[in-house]
Amino acid sequence: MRTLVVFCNPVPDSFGACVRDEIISSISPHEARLVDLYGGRDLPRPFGQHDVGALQWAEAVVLTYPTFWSSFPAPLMAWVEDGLDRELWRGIHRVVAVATHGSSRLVNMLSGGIDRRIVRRGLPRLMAPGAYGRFIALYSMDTIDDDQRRKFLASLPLTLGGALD
Amino acid sequence: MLVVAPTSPDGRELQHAQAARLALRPNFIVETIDLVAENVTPAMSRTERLRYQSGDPVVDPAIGVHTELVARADAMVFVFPTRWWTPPPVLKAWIERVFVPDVAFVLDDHRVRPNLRQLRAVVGITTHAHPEVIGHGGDGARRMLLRTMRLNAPRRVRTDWLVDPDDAVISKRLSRL
Repeated sequence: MRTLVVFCNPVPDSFGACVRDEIISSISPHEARLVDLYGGRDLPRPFGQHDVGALQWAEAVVLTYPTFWSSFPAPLMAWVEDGLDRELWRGIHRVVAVATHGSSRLVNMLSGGIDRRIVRRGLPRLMAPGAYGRFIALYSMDTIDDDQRRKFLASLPLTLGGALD
Repeated sequence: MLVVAPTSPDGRELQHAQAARLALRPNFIVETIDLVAENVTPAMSRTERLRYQSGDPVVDPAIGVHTELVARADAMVFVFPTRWWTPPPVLKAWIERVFVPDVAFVLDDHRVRPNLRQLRAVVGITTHAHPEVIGHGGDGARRMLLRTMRLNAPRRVRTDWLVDPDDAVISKRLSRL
């Protein structure tokens, strides 16, 4: 499945970059494309012609980001919305979020879990018929140890494979 | 404190903000922040992210002024359009950049503790919300402003939510605060 990986993280050498690399290496090379919203700059770039082509090319979209205020970082939400406004999600069959959270699963549930619901229920209705969304998350990023982070990375090819199946 | 994000084409948010200002004036000193007029950057920068937990998270001086207003606000009223499920990026990014550690909350051994001690009421006034779209994807704007905000506010904070209200409704509900 032609998969567009959208990476939105202000810090280029963060743990999120390891997650991104793991995602890309678990997709076969000729079927993966990357959109990096910050791309090492201080501020992200806006939605452009390149993104139109990328969404028209893709059958699946993987969004990977750190969770800010129980949702996507603002520039990623803007990127998703700009695509929706242009009806570019109509040809997409799968959407997967791979999110990292500073706080625990419980805190995320209490505070809203906004991104989870958008990915699982909101977006699929605006995509191709029969499309669905999956949500993969690593919680309590700030308190777990490196072993648990490595375990999460190692589990990604399998969970992502299942989500994109 | 009145925060307006007039990003919809018809600018209805400015009209609601004016009604809100009139309703609040008898009881509050109203400070208005217009995120579009002030040309607020709609994203957290790399520098800001790197300094987020440094004890000195404010980079942009304009955001510094806003953090001072937030820290001493008794009530916060947000006026904005809901495009799909969430507030417009300029408002979401402003929240990410202003409600930072040591302003909105304190990190106590990685746990979030509220720090907006003054805050008594939070009100969201939204325009252009589509009930059917929100029915599926959830009312992210409401959850973000009323529930996520609670992690930063005293337990007894009052909340209210108005969807495409007319001026009379704004006047009635806000004068109760």
